[in-house]
This record gives sequence, C-alpha cells and structure tokens, in this order.
Amino acid sequence: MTTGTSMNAWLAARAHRPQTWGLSSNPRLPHDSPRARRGAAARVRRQALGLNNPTGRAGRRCAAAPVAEPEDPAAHAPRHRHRRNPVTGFLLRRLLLAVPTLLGVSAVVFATVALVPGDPVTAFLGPGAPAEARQALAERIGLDRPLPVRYLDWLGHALTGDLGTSTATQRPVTAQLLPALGETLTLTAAAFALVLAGGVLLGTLGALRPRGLWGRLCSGASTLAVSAPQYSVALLLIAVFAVHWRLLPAGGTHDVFGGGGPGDLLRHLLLPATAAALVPLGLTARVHRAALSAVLDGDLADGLRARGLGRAAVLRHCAHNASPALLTIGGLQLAYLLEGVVFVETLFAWPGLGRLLYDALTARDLPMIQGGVLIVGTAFVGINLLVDAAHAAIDPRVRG
Amino acid sequence: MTTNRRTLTIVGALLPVALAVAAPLLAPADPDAGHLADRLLDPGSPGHPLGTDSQGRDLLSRLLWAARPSLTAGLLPVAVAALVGALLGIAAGLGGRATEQALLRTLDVLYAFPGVLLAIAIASLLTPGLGSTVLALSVVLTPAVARVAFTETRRIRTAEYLEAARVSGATRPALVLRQVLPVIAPVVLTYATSLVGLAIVYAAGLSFLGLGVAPPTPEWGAMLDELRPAIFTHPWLAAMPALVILAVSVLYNTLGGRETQAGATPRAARGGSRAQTASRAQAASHPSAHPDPAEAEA
Repeated sequence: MTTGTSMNAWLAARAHRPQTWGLSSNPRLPHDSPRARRGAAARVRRQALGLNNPTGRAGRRCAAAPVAEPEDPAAHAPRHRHRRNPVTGFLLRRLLLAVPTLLGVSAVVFATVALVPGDPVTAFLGPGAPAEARQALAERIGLDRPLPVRYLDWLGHALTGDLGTSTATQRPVTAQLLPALGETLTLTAAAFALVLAGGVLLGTLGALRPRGLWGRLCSGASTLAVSAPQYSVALLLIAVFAVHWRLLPAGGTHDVFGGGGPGDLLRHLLLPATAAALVPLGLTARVHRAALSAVLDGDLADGLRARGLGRAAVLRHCAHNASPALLTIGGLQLAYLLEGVVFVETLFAWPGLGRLLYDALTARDLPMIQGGVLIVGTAFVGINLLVDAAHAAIDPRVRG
Repeated sequence: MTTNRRTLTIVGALLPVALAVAAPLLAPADPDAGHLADRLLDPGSPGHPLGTDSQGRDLLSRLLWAARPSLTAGLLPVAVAALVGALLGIAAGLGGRATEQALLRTLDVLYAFPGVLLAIAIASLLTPGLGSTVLALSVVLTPAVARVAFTETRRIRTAEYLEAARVSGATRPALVLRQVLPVIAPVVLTYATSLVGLAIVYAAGLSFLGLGVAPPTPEWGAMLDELRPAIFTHPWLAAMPALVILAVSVLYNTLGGRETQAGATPRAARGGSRAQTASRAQAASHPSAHPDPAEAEA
C-alpha cells in the first residue's frame, strides 16, 4: 500500500514540474529529492556568481562545453615537435644516475662475498685434500686470479645472464634463480594487492573520520601493522589458522594430493601474503591517510563541495589528487616486499628467492648468494626508477 | 608534549630495559636449567606460567633473560648509527664538493640494498654472535641517519653564526662540536629513536636465521627458531616469543611515532628530495621507505 501511495506521489510530483525539464540534469529524479535540492542550491550559487551555464551540469563538464574558437591555423601547428618530451628527458637522467648505483651494488655484492672468511676450496674439498686438487679447483672457479680481474669477469658474465655454477648443487645459478624469482613474484604480487587494497581502505577511512572511532581504529591498526615483524606474524598466522583452526595450509605452493589449480594456489598464498603484507600495508595506510586528508582539507575539496558534488564524488576527485603519494609509497613498498620474503618464504616453505638465499647462506654457496642478492638489489633499483618515471608522468613538478 | 605524556613515554621506553636488568630477580627459574620430564608444557601449566621449551626450560625465565641480548642488539646499533651517521652527515654537509659526493654516493649504494639483505650479508661474513649483529645493524642503519644529518647540516651551512665562528678562528673540530652538533642533535636523535623498534625486530630476525647469539644463551629470535618445530603440536607455546617481539616492537614504535610527531623529524627526513617529500616524511620512521638513491644530487 505504502509503495503505491509513494508511487502516486512521485507521479504527481513528476506531472507538476514541467518547468524543470530543461534545467534538471536527471529528469527521472523526484522533484524534491535531496539530490535535486542540492542541485538547485548549486544552481542558485552559480547564478549568484555569474557562472551559470545552459547545460545545467556540474562544473567538471562545463569546462568541456563547446566554445567557439576562432579558426587559427597557428594553433594547430606542431609547436612541440622540436621540444623534447620532458618525461623522456627526466627518465634519461635518472637512468644515467642508476648506472653507477647498479655498478656500486654489484661491486658491494662481489666484495662482501669475496671477503668471506674461510676458504671456499677448503670448504668444498675438506681440509685433507691434496694440493693438486686444491689448485685445480681454485683454477676452475677462478680463485687464483686478482680480485679486480675476477670482478670484471664476473660482471661481464652476469650481464650476459651467466651467474656461474652453484657450488652446492652443481647446477647453473640462473637456472635455479629464475624459477624461484617467478615464485617470489607470485607471492609479491599477491602481497602487493593486499597492501594496496588494505592500505587505501584503511587510509581513506582514517582520512574521512580523523577524530572519530574509525580514525582511531585506523591509526591503531596501522601502527600495529607497521610494528609487526614478518616472522612473528607468520608464526602467529600458522598457529591460529593452520594449526588451531585447520583452515588454511601451513606451507608450500600446492597440495601434494589433488592440488594444483588456481584455487589451491590462492589458498596457499593467503597466509604468506598476509604475513608479508602487514608492514607495507600499515605504511601505505599512513601515507595515504595523510595525503588524502591534506587534499580533503584543501581548496579543491571546498570548491567541489561548493559546486554541489556529493560526498562520494568529492572523495573520488580528492583521491585522484592524493594518488602521487600513494604511487611513491606503493613503489617503495613493492621493493620492501621483495626483501621481506626471506623470512616469510623460509617459514612457509615457499620455494622462492628468499628461501633459496637462506639455503645458500647456510651452505656457503657463494655464486648463489651473489646471484640472489644481485637480482634483488637490481630489482630494488629498477622499481625505484619505475616509480620515478610514473611520478614524473603524472606530476609535472617532479621533472624539474 | 605535556609533562604527563613525556613521563609516560619515558616510563614506557624504560620498562623493557628495567625488566631486562631485573631479570635475575623476576625470573622464577634458572633459564638454562632444563627438566626433560617437563618438556613442552603449554602456557598456564603449574609452576611454568608461560610453559616450557623443548628441553624443559621455563619459558618466562628465558624470555626475561633474553631481553638482555635482544635489547642490546636493538639499542646499541641505533646509538652507534646515530653517532657515526651524525658525523658522516656533518662531514658531507660541511666538506667540499668532492667529499660530499664521495660520501653520498657510498651511502647511496648501501641504500640501494634492501636493509634485511644487507644485514644478513654482513652478519653472515662474521662469526655468529651479539657483536656481529650489532655491527651489521649499525651499518644498515647508519646511511639513513647520515642522510638526515646531512640535510640538517646543509640547511645551516651558510648560517651567519657559522660564518662568525669561522671568522673568529674556530678550528674545524670546534666548529663541528660547538656549532653544528648541538643544532642538528635534536633532529638526529629524534629520528634515531624512531628506529629503535625496527632495530629490535631486525636483530631478532638475524638471530632467528641463526646469525645471532650462540645457542644456550636465550634470545627472542633464537627462541622463536627453537620453538618453531613445536608449532604443529603446541601452537600457543611456539607463538610466545613471537608475541613478545611483537609487543616490544609495537611499544617502541608507538613511543617513537609520538616522539617523531612532536619533534622536527618530518622536515629533516625529506633528505633533499623534491615533490615526494610528504609521503617520505610520513614514512620516514621506517627505512623500508628508503629515499631513493638517485636523489642526493640536489
């Protein structure tokens, strides 16, 4: 009954407002709905400011309203043809700066491993090995040559994708590193998705209600997340979800019996990804909250509200303007995820780079340690570069 | 910060240290004396409030005693990094262009490494022990502090009082000790305090990987590793060291965060970067928010 009555009222209202057809942006809205009232209020404000326009739509679209421009051939001339794209220039400079950094990274990797106390030949052959065998092995792995020569040789091979042979497994390092890198990237991608989703959600809630319950909850949760060491979280997650409730698997990438599908992979990803994601999630939430509340308190938000945009629309526009900060911190967290996998992969028996590196450390497998650290270090520098590039693309002030 | 909050902060920061110092008085049992009959008792057992480990040693006593090496490995590297980082930062800030570039480039290379990996790499070069943990973490934390000190020094490099001191014939050490250090100290120290929680987490992580103190000595990370095999039979017992590390980390991060908000750190942590300052300053209390290496050319 009530439905019928309100429907009648709506029809009546619709019949009695022929004068609004041309002005209302949405003729199907009830005449006195809150949205229509807001629109009307905005129209009155615009009229007072002399900003009214025939389309009756909110400001974003007025800017696109066709304005008759004088036909000027010079305006269409390719003025920018001879000017270099500023993003490209910035990127080239950054790329040039990354080269010495990468060289330094490779030198440090090589040096730390070359300086390991303890003789790899003795470690490999045992203390009682005959001198000829020791000499032969030293020559085979190149230990008889001076350090700079060994560095240049190693670097040259590394650049062509040859990172040597693992002393523990006698297989090429690259052949072991690449599949492990794939597994690590899977884990990192899952964790990164959690970081972005959780960080943006927490940060937005915190920015919208800075003093309320949500705000307090969010800052508490992000502090907790930032302080949570991955190994602690990993152990607690295993204790609660894998052992106590038996909900999720405690390790590995797939079930031994009848596993292997994408659903199975997701089930195995959930706990390690959560353990890896907490710290970056907390940081992302903090940064996004700070950036978003700065925009929400600024002139842009005031202007949007004055134009009569709803809360959701204001938030959407402000979130767009807060996105550079999110991009920066997101990129940094991606790099952080890559390093944090050592603990998570070890605890969850995830066959990735971190686990490989841990095993190599315990077995003193020098080529493997070198290769693994080099790959992670290079990825670190590369991600920073990509973040800078994306940043320069969306924010002209950075290109400077 | 009001006096009350300040008191609360100091008390909170000293609480774990006090527990560590008073461990002989508070611990109900000898941390190294095991009773094989009482192996792997769950938390809440009579006589062992937090249970016992796989050798029947009282977990509460071990956790209390473990606070000594664990906190040392967290606090000492921060102190070392604050001192060395401040001096390096001042040297880079006051020295000539060559010194500045040489120091900053070296720090950038260290920065380009993921912190945990660098700590693991350094600690694995040395014999496992408290000393190597402290050394490794000092090396990892120093570049971040040095960057903050460098930025602060750059800010006051052309100040008139420095000029006046130079004109009046102050020697270089006097200039550093009397004029520069007192000015940058609050900022550097505030930043360093915010690193304490992280250093404790890193230190426990290193000994979890077997790169810390030698076995019979109790240490939080090592205990975590010792109890790990028991997780499928005694999940709550195995989670105890994890909970302790988590609690201490949350405590120091909360205090450090409050201190950071009150202090001048956000300005200092910008580290000469450009438009990314806001986000980095926000995240500065965590080195995973590395300012990027290529940025020191400013």
